[in-house]
Amino acid sequence: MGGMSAIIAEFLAESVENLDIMDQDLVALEKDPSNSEVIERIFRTIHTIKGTCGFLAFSKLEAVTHSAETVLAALRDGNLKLTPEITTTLLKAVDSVREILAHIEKDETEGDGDYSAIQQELDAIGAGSGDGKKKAGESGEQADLSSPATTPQTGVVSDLPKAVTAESAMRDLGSKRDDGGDNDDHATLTVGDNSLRVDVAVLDVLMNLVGELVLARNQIGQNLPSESDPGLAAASQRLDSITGDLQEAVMRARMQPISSILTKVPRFVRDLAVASGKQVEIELQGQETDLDKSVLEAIKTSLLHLVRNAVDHGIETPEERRAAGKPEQARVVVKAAHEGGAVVIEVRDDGKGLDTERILNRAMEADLVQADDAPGLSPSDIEQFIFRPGFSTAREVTNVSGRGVGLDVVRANVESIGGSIEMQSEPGRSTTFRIKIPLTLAIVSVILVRAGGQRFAIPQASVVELVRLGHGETDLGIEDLHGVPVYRLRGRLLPLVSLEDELGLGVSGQEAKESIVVLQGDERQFGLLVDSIDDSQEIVVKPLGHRLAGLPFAGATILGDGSITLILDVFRVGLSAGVVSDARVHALTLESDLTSAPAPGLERVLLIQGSDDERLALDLSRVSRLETIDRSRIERVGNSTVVQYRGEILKLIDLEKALPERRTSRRTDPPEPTSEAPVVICTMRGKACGLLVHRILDIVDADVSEATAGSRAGIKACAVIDGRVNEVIDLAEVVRRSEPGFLERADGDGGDA
Amino acid sequence: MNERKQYCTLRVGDLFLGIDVGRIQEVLRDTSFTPVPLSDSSIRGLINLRGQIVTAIDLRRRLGLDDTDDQTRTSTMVLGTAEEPLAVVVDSVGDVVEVDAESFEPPPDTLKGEARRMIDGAHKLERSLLLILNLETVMTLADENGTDE
Repeated sequence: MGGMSAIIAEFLAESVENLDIMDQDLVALEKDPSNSEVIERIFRTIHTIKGTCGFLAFSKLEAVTHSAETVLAALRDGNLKLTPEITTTLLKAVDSVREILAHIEKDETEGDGDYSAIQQELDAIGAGSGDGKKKAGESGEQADLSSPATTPQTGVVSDLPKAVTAESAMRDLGSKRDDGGDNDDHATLTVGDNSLRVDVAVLDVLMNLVGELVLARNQIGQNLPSESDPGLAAASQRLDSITGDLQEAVMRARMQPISSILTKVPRFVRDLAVASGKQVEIELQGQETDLDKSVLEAIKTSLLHLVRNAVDHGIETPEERRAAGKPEQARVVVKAAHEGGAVVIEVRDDGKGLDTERILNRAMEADLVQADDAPGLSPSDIEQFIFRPGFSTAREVTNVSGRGVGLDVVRANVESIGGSIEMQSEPGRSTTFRIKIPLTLAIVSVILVRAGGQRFAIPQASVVELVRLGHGETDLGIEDLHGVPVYRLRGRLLPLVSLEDELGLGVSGQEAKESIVVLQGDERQFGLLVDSIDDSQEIVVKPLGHRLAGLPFAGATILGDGSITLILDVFRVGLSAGVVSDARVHALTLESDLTSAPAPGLERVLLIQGSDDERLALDLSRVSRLETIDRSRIERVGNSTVVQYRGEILKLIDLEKALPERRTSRRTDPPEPTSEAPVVICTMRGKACGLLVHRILDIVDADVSEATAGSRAGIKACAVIDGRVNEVIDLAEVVRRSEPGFLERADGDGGDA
Repeated sequence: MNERKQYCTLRVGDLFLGIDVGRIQEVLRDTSFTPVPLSDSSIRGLINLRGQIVTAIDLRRRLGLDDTDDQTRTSTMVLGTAEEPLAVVVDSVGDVVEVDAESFEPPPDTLKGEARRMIDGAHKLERSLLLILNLETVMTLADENGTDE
């Protein structure tokens, strides 16, 4: 930013803001093409950008905006009637402008992108107003769905204006129009008059101070002598109530209406609908529902994912809908509402619902369920499969597009903030996803337990029930199953973990463990053995510093007496105790591999295709998960390539770069980088790293005993799998080659301990 | 040119150490610590700094000194860092001294062990040597270098 002149910086900030509004305006305009005010506003935005960039000598930007302006002028003057094709072209023009702006922000040049195509498209529309319409109609008839990218005007269903509506945007604009009706300056559209921007960090500080005030208040209350001055008692009481009010007010300041993350949804849905040739109406309800800022940030991508799922997979094509006797235009409703102490967000579509039979088949293929058990499963049991990690992965691997892709990630996200997700489906009629999340992340209700002389807090959300030992005649107490403590809970064996031992506090030894906290660790329950269960409380979660990362604690809190209590990360406790299979990390090795071991003599391997069509195989026991990541999320830190993955930094290794070039000639032109890259997440000595690969093919059981030695470094052997020669990857060597320090450090691990 | 520098002095074991006064946010006495199970051995625990939870490193353990009289040491210095404040537990906190930059000398090569990495050098005072701590090394715990636990 330092080198960028202030005038350019200002131009960028203003333009980006205006373009966002323009997206909404254009979609709104489709619904009401005659709204001259909206056209006028769009025109003015483009005109402003054009004017400024002419002045700043950004010629490409000027050319695109000029062409767009011509079209908009024709629209404004009534020489041209808005068609969905024109809207699409205009939206594309907006995207081009955005792209150039992004480039300018980066290095103050327009970049070397070629925008002549969009310019020509705009010019063609602008040139002959009547003519252009006819042309668009013609191309619509030759619709070729397979290549929407090259012929953008094709494949667009004719009555789109009705198809995509943006009521929210309209309402929004409506109110803004009322406020600033006579003021023509576009700035009035961006900032509300009665609000100001406050850094979230400032609010966090406020929140902390209020928390302190509450503590100080408690201390005064406790230390007040019983026969004290009545004036002091009254003042203390007043302090009490004011502190309470203040706490609430600060909490409210952190709240934001959910509309702040829903503004992009109408455009998002429109683009998806156009791309897939569907007709979708989006309806946003309860937009004013307030949520804590941090919660909003946490669910943003999950929500978009669910909307995309609804349009992509839930809704049928217009033809299918007609055949099923439904209106061609589908509806997606996003609804938010308060319910008790939580917020419920629903994403509902009136599409075909879940095909339980297909899901069941997939589940059986993936060995998630045995064929014999299948008839006994209820539809809701089957529906649960779509949330299984690896279920979606399996689909990605085989490239079968279908419902369920990435839903495990959505669930993990929602659960990570203490929420839950459920799904209801009516075959042929609708699918509804319901996310239930706490109002705020800052305050959590916990139960306090004691173990090894220390107090710990366990979030209520993961507690299933509490059991007192030694009560009732039938209680057999803790039993021993081949060295593993278990407890009979209503006839079921519950694996037990002693919190004291798990945290290495086991010096106190024989103190009576009198209580079990039954916890839900991912999919299995386990019991946490504690000395005593004290109390339940609402607490304010405070983060632990990065020096304490990696421990089984989710944070800490300060209790009323000023003492600090650590909050247990239940999942990690169970994980390190081995009672929870690392389902989130070992998604792929999941049940299928746990229940069905590969046939004797065979090894289960992951088949990978290289960019030069070479085949590689990787021992699946090393693989914990398959993911697809957006290339834009890949970051460089020092000499490493990393990606933020589930709140942690994951080192990435490009498999092709890590392996030495093969002696055979490679394909001359490197494959086009796709926007998404498949990543194989591997665990080496307890550490995770990601392998960037070209393509993941399949998982097979293979006989690698007949292998011959590999011909290049990083290759353990060559083996015939599936009729082709596969190079078996030596993972340790690959990691050593590209991240020399990675394993050494892990080695040191064992030595030090 | 006689550049003057100010250090807050402190004692840890039989070491007489100095920390740049600019880095010290405050000094606390009679602090109570909440131990963190499974954490790095040099972490003494967490302290409640007016509602903010701050990690406290025991300087004695960090420097690899004998730490048998653990519970008696409660003097804590809170240091400002780029990210979050950090506390170090010391035996006792002394005065602030002003020293001449020229009196500084790097540590002798014969200084070995953990202390070698954590001590930048010494200022020659009239009666004693003031060892200057390298706070960045002190504050960077082992697991941040990749060695767990």
